[in-house]
Amino acid sequence: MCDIDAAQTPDARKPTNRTNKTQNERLRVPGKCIKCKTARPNVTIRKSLYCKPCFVRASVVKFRAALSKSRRRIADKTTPNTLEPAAPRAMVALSGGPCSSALLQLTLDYHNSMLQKGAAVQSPYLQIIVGHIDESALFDVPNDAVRSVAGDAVQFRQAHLEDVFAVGENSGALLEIVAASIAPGESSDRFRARVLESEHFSSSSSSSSPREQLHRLFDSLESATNREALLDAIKMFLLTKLAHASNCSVLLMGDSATRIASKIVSLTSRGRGFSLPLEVASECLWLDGLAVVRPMRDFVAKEIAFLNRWAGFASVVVPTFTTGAPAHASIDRLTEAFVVGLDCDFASTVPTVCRTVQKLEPRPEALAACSCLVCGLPVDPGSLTWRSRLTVSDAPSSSSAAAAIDCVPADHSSSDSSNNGNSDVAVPLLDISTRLCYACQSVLHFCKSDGLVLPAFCAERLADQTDSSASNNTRGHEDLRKQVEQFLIDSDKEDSD
Amino acid sequence: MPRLCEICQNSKAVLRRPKTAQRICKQCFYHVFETEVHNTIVDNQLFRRGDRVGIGASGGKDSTVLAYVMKTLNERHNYGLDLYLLSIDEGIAGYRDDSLETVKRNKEQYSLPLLIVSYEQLYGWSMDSIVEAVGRKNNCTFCGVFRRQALDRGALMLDLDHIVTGHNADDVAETILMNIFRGDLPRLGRCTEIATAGDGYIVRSKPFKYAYEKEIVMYAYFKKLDYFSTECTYSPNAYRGYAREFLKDLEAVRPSAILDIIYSGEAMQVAQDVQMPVAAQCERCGYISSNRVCKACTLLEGLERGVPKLGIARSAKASLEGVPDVAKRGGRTVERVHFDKLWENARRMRLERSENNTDVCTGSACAGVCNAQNTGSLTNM
Amino acid sequence: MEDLKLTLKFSSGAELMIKDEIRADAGTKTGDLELTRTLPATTDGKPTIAKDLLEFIRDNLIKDRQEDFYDKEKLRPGILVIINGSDWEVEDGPEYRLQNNDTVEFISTLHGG
Repeated sequence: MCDIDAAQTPDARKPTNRTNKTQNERLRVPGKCIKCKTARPNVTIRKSLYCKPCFVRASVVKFRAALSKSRRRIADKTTPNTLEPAAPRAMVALSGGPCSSALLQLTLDYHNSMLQKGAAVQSPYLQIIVGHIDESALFDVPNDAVRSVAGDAVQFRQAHLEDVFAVGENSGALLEIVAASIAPGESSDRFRARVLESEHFSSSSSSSSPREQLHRLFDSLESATNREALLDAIKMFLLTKLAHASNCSVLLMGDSATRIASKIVSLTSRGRGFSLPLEVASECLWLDGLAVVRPMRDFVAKEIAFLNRWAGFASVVVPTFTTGAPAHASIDRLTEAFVVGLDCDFASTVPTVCRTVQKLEPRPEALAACSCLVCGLPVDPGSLTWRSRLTVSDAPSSSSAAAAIDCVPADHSSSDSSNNGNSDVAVPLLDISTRLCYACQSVLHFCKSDGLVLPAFCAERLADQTDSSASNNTRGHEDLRKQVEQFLIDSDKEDSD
Repeated sequence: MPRLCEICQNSKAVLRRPKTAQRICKQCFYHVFETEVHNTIVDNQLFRRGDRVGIGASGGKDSTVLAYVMKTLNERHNYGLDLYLLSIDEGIAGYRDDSLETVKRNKEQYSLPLLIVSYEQLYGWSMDSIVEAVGRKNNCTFCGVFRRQALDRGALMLDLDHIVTGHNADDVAETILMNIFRGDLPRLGRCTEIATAGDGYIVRSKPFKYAYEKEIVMYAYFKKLDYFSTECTYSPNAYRGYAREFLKDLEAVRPSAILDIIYSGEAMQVAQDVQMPVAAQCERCGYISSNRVCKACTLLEGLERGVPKLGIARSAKASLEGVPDVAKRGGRTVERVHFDKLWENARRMRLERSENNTDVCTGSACAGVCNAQNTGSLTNM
Repeated sequence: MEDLKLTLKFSSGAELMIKDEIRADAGTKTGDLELTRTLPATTDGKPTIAKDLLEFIRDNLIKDRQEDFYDKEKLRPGILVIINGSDWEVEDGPEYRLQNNDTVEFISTLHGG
């Protein structure tokens, strides 16, 4: 008897039991949408039921609030005394995946609705431009599909992954890592590199297309974890460059709460704790003249999936190195599966992780530190010593010889004549260990072969640093500067894209 | 042809080092393992010459290896430490009684003095009797609270300056992850610290903070150290289980992950509102406590009065009023030694030592008398 | 009782889990996948529910690592199920009693596919 009772339409029974429990505003009508209280719900987000129209409307409101808040916080920091700061140009980073597609459409929708209201209400941005990184050099992506996701109404700028090797005709240089290993008897990691000047590089027998060089770079990295890390760095570089070239001072990124939470755990696991606060911040002003904003931070992946569906936002599946691979294919992959699973078992894991860790501020040293040649984020000056003290790899007898951190080892240059046709340009090797962040050292450490040629921006960053570090010119710096001098790219030169 | 050790290029490689994936020989493994612990001690200036240091010894692999390595390094680098083994007997049949036998053998093997303090002796309740009274749900809370205080009591009985525990890199990395998952920023900040003087009287530190669990096991294996390897019969924290399993997966993907997580945890450096807990004392036992009555005393009162939820329940201000004095189950009421008394004894011991032994100054034992000569840290050894 | 004719859709990366030959048969080697399958109206003497469908998909459609899709009564976290246009959690989730002509969609929210 009881069984039958319990099985009978629970909807009909509940209201009578629960009506006393109502709280005026947040009144919940069991079995009905939390907003309109009348419609049959279509989705449940963290125990709240929504009908289709209410869900879409609520999402739009939430997004606009997040975007406005970000904008106000940035204005407070950058132009604290201006009442009505001029609206900046914004670039929306679009991969074509669900999060960035939703971001683009919500941003455009906001922008256009403000424009319609006329002069009285200012749109947060002067103009919206789409920035896309074409990854077809590495993955099979239908580029037309991404273009159609963006639509025709918006300016579409794109850069290609292989662009980072496009040096040659004008100027520029590449940085080749000649040795990156723990040599026997060494008491700490060393990364020895030399600068390859462009003419030399393009005329040498080993010359190859940017695309081939990109492939060679990724092929020589030891694991999918490292490949993903390097890909992130390259994409971020290209996006910021694209933003600068388009006169955008704001870069909008589509990271959802789910994505940020997995990123936090995965960056932690990859040893990126020093720069992590910058990498997941709601608003990050670290990059010169560019504010990176993450307005999708309050949306979990499920919300975005339903929003795209019901608002009719198109998106594509963006492949990565580990698409279709088992969960332990890389740290990013493993972490995503773990965080999403943990969130199933312990509801609100994702928002909790996001909210709390986004409160982290970068350490004061981080703001003063030089930027990593590879990822462009701050290098923890203590990390090299830290690692070498805790991963000892010298032989028992030689333990007394403490290595000076800043020495430039010139005596190893005899062994590097292999792929260098012209002996005139043979240069002593540079020790770039102190210019790589802890995590990027790990990425490069296990590369399969020596002679890893890094993208051109690494050499540019090196040149910039040696240029601007006149204040603390040690002997090492001076040597470095002299060598790099002739390959310096004129920093005033416009980035034309 | 056998593969040669990647470090000395001389002997045959016998293991692949979990931390760095290098193939190395036994001697080089001992060397790098011990040197890293030494570096940890020196870089963090954990001890001062003459410190009386207690090794929290459970008989398990971590603390057994810790005792061995501490003794080795103390002699090799002339730290000038007085080492003691300090064990807690929680009173868990089939687990602790067996592991304590191991500690007793260690005492002989390493010729280090050993003090065992038991819950039974200190509180009148063994863990077995507590589980009998409260069931298996919250027993780990009791054990944790009681152990913290028991270590401090034991340390005062021996007049120690410092306690080292066998927490290893895996434990630390796991805790960092857990605090991230829970969004617990204050704990995230604290859990990466190598030494804490925060909640007790005596400095605690983890010289194995950067030592991989796998390497500790390997070290014990190659050195043929005598340790006891059974998990506590009362099951561990379930949430920690998630973090542990995830960490193992991460380590499998990339062995350096454990160290990388610790690096990240330290580098994140959570800005803490430096809120030193008011140095209040428990009005019953004198233990440091932010409340009128410390957690241990609250838990004990709950046990003794038959309301074991006391001090556990969240809503707990859970008052004692109206709770009838129920007949005690399992335990017995013991007069707990007040901490003031323990302090006094420790001070007396210190004085006696300095009187009896004027030529060998034991640093802090002088209580400031000969500060000038003997406070040199171990940085340069 | 009649059999249940169901429309199954896989998109946003969920289609990548389906056997290649099934995708080829459906004429969509890439992109969204739509299939029609028929399940008995009862399973083990009880009305067929969503859970039974998950087992059917795991055993018949999923490429390799079937247990990744559905294991120990648990659908892989990060995969959304939409029944006739609504989140299945609004219905009874895995206990939802399937009807003839239902459309069941699977959407992956996972970045790694």
